[in-house]
This record gives sequence, structure tokens and C-alpha cells, in this order.
Amino acid sequence: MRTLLKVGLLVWLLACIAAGTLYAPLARRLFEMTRIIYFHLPVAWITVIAFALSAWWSAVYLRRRDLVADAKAAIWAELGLVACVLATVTGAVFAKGMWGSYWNWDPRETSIFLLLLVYAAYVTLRTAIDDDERRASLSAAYSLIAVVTVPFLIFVVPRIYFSLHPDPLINSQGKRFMEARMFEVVMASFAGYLAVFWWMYRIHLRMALARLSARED
Amino acid sequence: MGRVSRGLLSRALEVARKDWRSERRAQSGLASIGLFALVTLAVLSFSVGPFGAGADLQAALLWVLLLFTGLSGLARVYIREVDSHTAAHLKLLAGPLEVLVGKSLFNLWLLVLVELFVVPLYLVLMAPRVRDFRVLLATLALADVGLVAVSTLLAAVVAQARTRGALFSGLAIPILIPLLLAAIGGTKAALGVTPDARTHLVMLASLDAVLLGVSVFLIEPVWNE
Repeated sequence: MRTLLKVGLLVWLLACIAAGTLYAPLARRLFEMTRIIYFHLPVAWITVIAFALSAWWSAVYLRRRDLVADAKAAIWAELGLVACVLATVTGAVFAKGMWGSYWNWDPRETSIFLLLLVYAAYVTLRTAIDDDERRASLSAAYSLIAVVTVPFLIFVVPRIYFSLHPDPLINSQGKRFMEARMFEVVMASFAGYLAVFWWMYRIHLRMALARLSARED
Repeated sequence: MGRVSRGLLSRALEVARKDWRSERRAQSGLASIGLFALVTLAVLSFSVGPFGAGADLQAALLWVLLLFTGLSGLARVYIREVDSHTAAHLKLLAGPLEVLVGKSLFNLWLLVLVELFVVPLYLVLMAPRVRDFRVLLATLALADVGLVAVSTLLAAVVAQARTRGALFSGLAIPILIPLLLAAIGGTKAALGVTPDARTHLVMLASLDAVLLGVSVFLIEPVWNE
């Protein structure tokens, strides 16, 4: 059954790539750079979801003092960091294609880069504390103070400072400015990559639970 | 309720006074922050000069200078307690919130002292044309509150870690960037680069409120670890 799910996921992702190339039309003025949207948007959304989940499990740890919650917070932060690197790199490739340089300190680029720094700092903090409980408490506190800046970075900064970044789905008008077939492929890709990240999360969680039970023994 | 807040404030002021007494006794702390600010400002002035930078760059350089000067001194409040083995004693005398408020007040006082020295010197050496001093002062005041809120809480975090100095800056700067962007925006408005100071001041005030609220909420698990 599990093998079937894995093969199904691979087929789904290949179908998404094919649909992005053959089914969805090119966006106006974006030309061939349109293709990168089907990877960049899903991983950017997964970044925010993963960091929100990390903050949620951090809050749960502070409430229950349960090291499993801390392990979940750490795993989502690490996976969020992976998604954030992918979103940053694909964003830079898009910027090179559209605006002529890989990095322009556009408000969106700045926001994603700062998220990268915040969670890289979170991971570094975890390596700087030996005691498990202390590491869990202090990193949970850092995760929560970091997450309150996220709405400012994602929603406020791009509204205040001029941005070249297209915002067809998340914008101040609350409207969708994306062709229906493109939107379908974006959502299908998002579901596929979310499943990949969920799979990675389950593997990491099993490893963390094994470590915790070995510690108790 | 009023009595509780008065008790909290008086104990917090006691913590702040104690920190100020140790700072004056040690003497080296404030002097080294002042020296750091002076050397950095000299390097900036030497490399850019009063005519080498537009108002945009001058606003950014002022905040880079204040940020790094502030970070060089603000982490010590909790580290000192851990290094001198007085943290346990302090925990018996005052609650986490009282210690946080006291140490934040002390850090705010330290930052204001640094700015009283650095900002006039910056205005002399870099010669930016300030169009609206009220906006500059409001930006400085609001940014200081957020800077102190984040720095003081993170000082309590890094005091319990193995590596401290570099880790403190690594943890604090990414969180402080939105505040820094708004502070630079407010300073640009004070220098007449942008007409809209209100947006930046409102963003600073909202960041202050959020960061202060989170610090108050999180200090208990951090300080009691």
C-alpha cells in the first residue's frame, strides 16, 4: 500500500510537470518563465506553512513540556528551511529571467531571505545548547518571537515598499489574477509537494521518536 | 491591581538600579560601547564622508551604526548574571517579569546614553540635512523600544547557551530587520527623502506592541530554565 502511494505521488508530480509544460498557457509578459511558478509558488507556501507549524508545536511544548512536541517543532523548522532555500533559489532564477539580475532586494526577496536567516538562527541556537529540556524551551521561545515578525515580512513590507514581484494570488485586493488552467496546475503541484514534505516529516518524526525512546532507556 | 503594578514597577526599578550600579562600578562596559560607536562612526565618515552619501544612504548608515553599537552592549544584562553566578539569587528576589522589565529599563537607558553621544556626532561628521527633527526623535524613540524588547529577551536566551556573542547577533538581527526597515523609512522621512513618515511610525509602533507583548509572554519559560 505504501509503495503504491509513493509511486502514485511520483506519477502525480510528473503529471504536474507535464501539465505545467503542455496544458497551462504562458502568462502574459512572463513567457517561458511561467513554468517556474509551478514549483516556486508551492514551495514558498510550504515554507510559510512549515514555519507556522513549527511555531504551533513550539507553543504546544511550552504548554505541555513534551519533548515530542519539541521534536515536531524542530522537524518543521528544518523542513521549512529546505523549502525556503528552494523558494529563494527558484525566485532568484525567476528574477534573473524577468529583471536581469538574480538578486534585487525586492521586498518579497528580502522577506524570504530574512525568513531563511531567522530559521537558520533557530537551527544554530539548537546546536548551541546541550541540555534537551533547556534547548526545547529556549528554541520554542525563539521560534515564537520569530513568528510574530512573519506577518510583517510577508504581508506588510511588500505593501509599504514598491515591489516588482507579481502577486496574482496573495494581494491586497483579495482577488485571483491567474488564468484558470494555471491556477489548477499551481494547486495540483502544491498538493504534490505538500505530500512530499509530509512524507519527509513522517520519516524525521520516526527517527526523532526512536532517539527519544533510546534516551529514556 | 494598582498595588500589584506598583510592586512590579518598584522591584523592576530596583533591578535596573542594581544593573546601573554594577555598570558604573565596572566602568569598562559603557566606555567600550562608546569606543565601539566612535570607531565605527570614524570608519563610516572616513570611507563615505559628508558629501559621499545621499540622504537614502545616510539614513541606512545611521541605523546600521546604532544597531551594531546597541547589540554590542545590550546582551550583557543577563550574561553578567550567569557569569557572576548571581542568576539564582536574582530569581529568589524577583519574578521573571520584574527582572525583564528592570533589565529592559536599564538597556533602554544604556541605549539612550549611547544615542545621546552617537547621533549628534553622526549629524556633525556625516552632515545629513534633517528636515524634521520631531520625526527623527519619534523614530529613534519607537525603534529603541523594539530594539530593547528583542535584545533583552534574546539576552536571556543566549545567556544559557554555549556560544554567546556571535549567536546573539545571529539571533537578533533577522528579527530586528523589519524594525530596522521601518526605522530607516522614518529617518528617510525626517531627512526629506520620502514624504510619508506616518506609515513608518505606525509600523514601528505596531512592531513595538507585538514584540513587547511576546517578550512579556515568553520571559517566564526562558528565565526559569
